[in-house]
Amino acid sequence: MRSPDAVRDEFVDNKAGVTDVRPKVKIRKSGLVLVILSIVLIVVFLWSFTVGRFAVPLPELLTVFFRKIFGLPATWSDTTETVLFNIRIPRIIVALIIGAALSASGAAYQGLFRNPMVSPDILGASAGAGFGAAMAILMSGSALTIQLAAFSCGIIAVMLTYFVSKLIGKANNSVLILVLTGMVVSSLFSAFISLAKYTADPNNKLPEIAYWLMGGLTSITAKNISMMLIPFTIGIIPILLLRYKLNALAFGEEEAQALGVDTKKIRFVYIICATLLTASSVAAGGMIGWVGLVIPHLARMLVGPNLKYMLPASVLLGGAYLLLIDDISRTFFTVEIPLSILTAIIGAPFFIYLLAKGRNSWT
Amino acid sequence: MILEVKAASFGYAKRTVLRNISFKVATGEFLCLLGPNGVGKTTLFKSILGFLDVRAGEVTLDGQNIKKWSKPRLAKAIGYVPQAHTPPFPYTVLDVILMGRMAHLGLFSSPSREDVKIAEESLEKLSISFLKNMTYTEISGGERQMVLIARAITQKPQLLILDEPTSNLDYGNQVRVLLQIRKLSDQGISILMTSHFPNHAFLCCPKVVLLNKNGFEVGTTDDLITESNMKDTYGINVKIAKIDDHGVDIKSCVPLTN
Amino acid sequence: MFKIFTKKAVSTGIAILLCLWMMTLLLTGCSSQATSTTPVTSATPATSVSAGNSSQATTRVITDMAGRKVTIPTKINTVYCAVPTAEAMLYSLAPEKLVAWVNAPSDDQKKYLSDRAKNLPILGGWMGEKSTANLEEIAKLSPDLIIFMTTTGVNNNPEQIADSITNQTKRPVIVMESGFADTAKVYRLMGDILGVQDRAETLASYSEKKMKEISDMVAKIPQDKLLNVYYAEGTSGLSTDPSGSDHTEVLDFVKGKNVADVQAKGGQGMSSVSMEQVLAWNPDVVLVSSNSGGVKAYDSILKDTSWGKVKAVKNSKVYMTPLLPFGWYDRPPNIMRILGIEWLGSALYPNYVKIDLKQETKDFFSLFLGQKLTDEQVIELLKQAV
Repeated sequence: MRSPDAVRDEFVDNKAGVTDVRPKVKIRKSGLVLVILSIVLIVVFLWSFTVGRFAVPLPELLTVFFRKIFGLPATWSDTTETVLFNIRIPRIIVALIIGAALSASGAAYQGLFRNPMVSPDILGASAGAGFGAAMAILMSGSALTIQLAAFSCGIIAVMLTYFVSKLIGKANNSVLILVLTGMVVSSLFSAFISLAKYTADPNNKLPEIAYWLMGGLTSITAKNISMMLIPFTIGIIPILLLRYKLNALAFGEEEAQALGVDTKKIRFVYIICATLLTASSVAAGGMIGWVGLVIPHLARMLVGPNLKYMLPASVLLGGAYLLLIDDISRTFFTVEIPLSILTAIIGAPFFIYLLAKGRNSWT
Repeated sequence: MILEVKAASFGYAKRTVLRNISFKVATGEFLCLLGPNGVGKTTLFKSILGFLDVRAGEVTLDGQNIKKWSKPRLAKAIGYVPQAHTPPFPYTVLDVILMGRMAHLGLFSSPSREDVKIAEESLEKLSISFLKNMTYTEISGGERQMVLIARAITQKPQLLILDEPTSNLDYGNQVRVLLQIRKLSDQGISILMTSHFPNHAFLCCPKVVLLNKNGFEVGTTDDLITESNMKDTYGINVKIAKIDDHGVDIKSCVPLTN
Repeated sequence: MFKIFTKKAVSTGIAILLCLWMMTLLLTGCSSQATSTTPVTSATPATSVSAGNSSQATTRVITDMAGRKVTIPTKINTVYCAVPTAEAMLYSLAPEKLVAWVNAPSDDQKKYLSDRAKNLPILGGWMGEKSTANLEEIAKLSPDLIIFMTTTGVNNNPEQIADSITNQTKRPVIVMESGFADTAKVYRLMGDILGVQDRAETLASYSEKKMKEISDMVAKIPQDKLLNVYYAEGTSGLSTDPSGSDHTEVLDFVKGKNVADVQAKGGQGMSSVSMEQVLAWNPDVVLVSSNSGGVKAYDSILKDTSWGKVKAVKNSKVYMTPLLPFGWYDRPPNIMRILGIEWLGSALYPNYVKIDLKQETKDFFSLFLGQKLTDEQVIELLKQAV
């Protein structure tokens, strides 16, 4: 039995003037990184309570939580109570959920479509949801109607993509056809959104549609939390449970099947789950881009591409990221800056930075 | 475990590539598939692995039609070594090899310590332990091929199907890999391999399926690799030479220049 | 390949091209002739036929309120407003000259309009972010004059839009100032242009009188009695416009302190704010924009728990801006703001602005809009506004 070094020397000739140019191998402590990310998330979460246009000094904030936990009577004003529990807490929780949902969806799709440039909108969920919302606004629906319409249309758009691609695709190019059909459906619904904007009365409906589409959590109430939790849980649990199997798809449909993975079923489940996550996120917060695309890249840089660690990392990072951005949106200026503008302004340069730094995060 | 191909035809929706093929790979047998480019070796493989439907006849494993085998069960029995290509994400070599355990894992599980041990054993067996923590996308093509073989044996299969496993390998590594595969065959794993080089068959493989314009033939390497068969299959003139190595006859196929 | 250029092919090709060219010439020739003569659809006798009568000029040059020199007909019979802002002014001054609306009047609005006005065609217009003008319809109706009423302040370039409207419609376009302070001036200028000077003088002096009355009354309010007001727009009431915007001139005039210290946005305005921000401002009074949020916003503000913590809501000081038949507050900012300052002044500071709002409303509607209101109608108009 020859020693590994001897064998290695046969592969790498260190003697005859050929230098070993292998990069240093670093062994990632992915588990540790996940723990750190959880701590980061908790810190951001707690910090978010201290910021806002309505001043709640830190001592008062601590008093409120202390007394609430122990059931002691309130020593703070009615308005402070409303601000903290009716306005800030729901908004913080929803920002967290949306950030986590979009990141998980993006990470799942990137693995599913073997492409690091994929975002959660790729199958048309966002455009469909935007269209649903635009129609509901045109018909003067209530806030609840707008959200339900957005959610349903997002789901319908993806169903359309899926079934049309099934009709026209063959077994060996199903993924490609899915992506192309998704692009077409997205464009179609985007065109419909433009049509809706065109027919909208420019005094009320048009700005309302425009604002809604730009994304924002201004009108989040406690009711939103319970509405979002259902699709969020249904969506994210299978994605997390099946994440190890998704790794196999990186090697191609056939190899994955040869490894024992039922690619058709996994694809089906993942598309449903990611769509639930994306559609519910758009329904609650408008079209927020750059999160589902950028966060998985960052996660991959930190813990590697193995979805066993990368998916949870995406979820934790995404939640903290969007929460942070929403904090900026609602605190820094009197006027609310729509979320999609902030995620683009911050996300795009950040993405370029990731591209430069993490040239190894894809091949 | 016995793989049997019974009068099967293979092909795609629009055309049939191979007709009426029959052969058997018994437990521990090592079968080499030889044939020119385009004759249908890859089509044959894809059909056996279940990627393509068998167009006529049937393919059975242990007597049962493979159509009735579930994908996970099939993956536990058959290990597939494709030609190495580049995946889009930079998995470590250990990650890649561990994926071989997927068929044995529950739906929601990821590899346990046991699985990691099995993967490390595969690395040992192929003498590539030093690659363990390197990035799969940064090692050479030949090294990637070795990793894929390691992944396949991590599946602990009873049958290994290898699609030209020596492409991208240098001469020395070709020989080493083939001898390694031979060792696996001696340990009881059935092997089905394609190759472009008859000498590979002489080196390690006692049984051969020859596919050419005349149809197909199954037989021992000695019987089937003849000068006329090589002419029919590859269209070139060769001479089959016998070399005496310490009393053992080693055959070799030498191309002639005229 | 060069085989296709046979003699026969080439000559046929040239013949076809010549035919096409001649047809195009004919068509454009006809149309350019048409625009330079009075269209047959004009309802009045020929105003621009210059044959004979050379002693009486048919056009004159005026300077509009953006400093543009515009050639307009001396006798104007049909007027179209490019932006809804001018419609109320024109309807009050010379309703029979109004030839079309920009947007279709709602059923509620029609209750306060004349029969003729109810049935005028809808042409669309230049609505800031969106142009909905139907150019062909405008060309068909061919109004004698087009009014483009907007703010002509330092940062605006109404000339560009006015010139582009002129180019697109080939009708004379004049720019009028929409600022509240110029209301009387606009009336007098328009009275001269349209030849209805007496009527214009009546409306102008009434406007000046009322503006002076209210202005004097609110001047007497001591600093500490001035109220903080939040103008709630949008369906959730979380959009607003700050002081100085042309949307909030009425509020500024009656000395309401606009809490919103946001950047004024041009065009449709509406800067978005958070509920927390509103709670931080804690205004004394909330004005709900009837045109933007409407009854929905009004109801939700009154019912919502978070809004309930705002001082204004606690004290039931939430008012909806009246909007019939044209907005009394804004959207668009128009001459009904004369009534608007009376309404808002008395709503905010009843102890200082002592007027009989019901009677004032009846007087205004009678004089400006030719409508005799019943008591029930007045109550209806002021619903949720006081």
